[in-house]
Amino acid sequence: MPQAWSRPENRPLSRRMHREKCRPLVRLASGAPVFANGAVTAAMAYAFSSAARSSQPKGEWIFPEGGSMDMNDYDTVMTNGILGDRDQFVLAVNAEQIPGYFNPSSGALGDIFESIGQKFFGWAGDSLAAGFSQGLAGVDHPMRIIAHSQGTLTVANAAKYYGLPQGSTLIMRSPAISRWRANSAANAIGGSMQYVQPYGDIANIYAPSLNPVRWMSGFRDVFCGACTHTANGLP
Amino acid sequence: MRMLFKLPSMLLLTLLMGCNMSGCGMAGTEPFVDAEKDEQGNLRLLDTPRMWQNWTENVDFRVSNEVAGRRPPGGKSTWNDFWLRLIDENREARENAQKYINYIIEKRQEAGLPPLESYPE
Repeated sequence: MPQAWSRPENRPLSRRMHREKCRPLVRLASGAPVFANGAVTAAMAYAFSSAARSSQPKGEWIFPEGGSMDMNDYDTVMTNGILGDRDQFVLAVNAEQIPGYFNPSSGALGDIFESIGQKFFGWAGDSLAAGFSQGLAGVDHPMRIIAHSQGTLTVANAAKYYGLPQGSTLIMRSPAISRWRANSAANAIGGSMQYVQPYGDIANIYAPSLNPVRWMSGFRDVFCGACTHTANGLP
Repeated sequence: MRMLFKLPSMLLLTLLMGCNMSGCGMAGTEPFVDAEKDEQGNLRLLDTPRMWQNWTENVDFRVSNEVAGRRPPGGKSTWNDFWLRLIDENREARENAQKYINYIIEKRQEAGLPPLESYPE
């Protein structure tokens, strides 16, 4: 079995990254994104931001076996969605010679809870996005960033709240975010975006669009067991 | 207030239904690659339409980079080294590996790039 090289996330944070990691607290304290039901929202936001701050970045950067471990030597990276399988991810990293940010699974419910936190409270702190951004912090050229499903939440939050290489191309496959939000993430880094959301993908339900037919088509995937969604995954 | 709970509930419900009906179960995977284990327990990437599409996209992107004179990825000193490494990694890792390897050879040829040195060995 081929093994990949992985880099532990033990580098100290740069001043910029540290400021960015602390931003959620500041924003929460300032009360900026509080809704009418402020108490509940703030409580949930606090829970997500605490989880994000209290732990090391959850994801793991994996590099192709025998390849460079300097991110500047690559032009493409990828990240997976929920219920990730590390062996499959390592195989993909080696077969494509593309480094990847592996998002380990905490079980279906844990992953779904995490996704909800990233989707609705990403501004309050997102440890996956922080780790993703940290891995690309020293890159001096635009990257091609491929993300699937929950990975699109990680990438969008990384772009908006933590920073990614300027001018990068975000390839969002079966995104769990709307086209507007994906565009907004790409704009935040002065980059471009490919939104790959097939009709009939379950992700249409929770990545709302103004097209009701597209939204409704997502329910078809519920009955085939998210077959369209999983068939649109990462290399 | 109701909307706050409605959105996450909708997300939770659809994901749970999808996962449950897919047979992935609560301990399964959401595969981002199509792969299978052989008799020895080794993982292998399957030759499916989406795997082929992903491959062609990545090879096309890299061939265009080579044509543009950009440096090869992975810290390799030459594009020849990079392609040989990629071919080597895919020989055992994929179903119908030769089809995938041939695509590299053909696309480079179409782009007017020189044949790979030391291939085939």
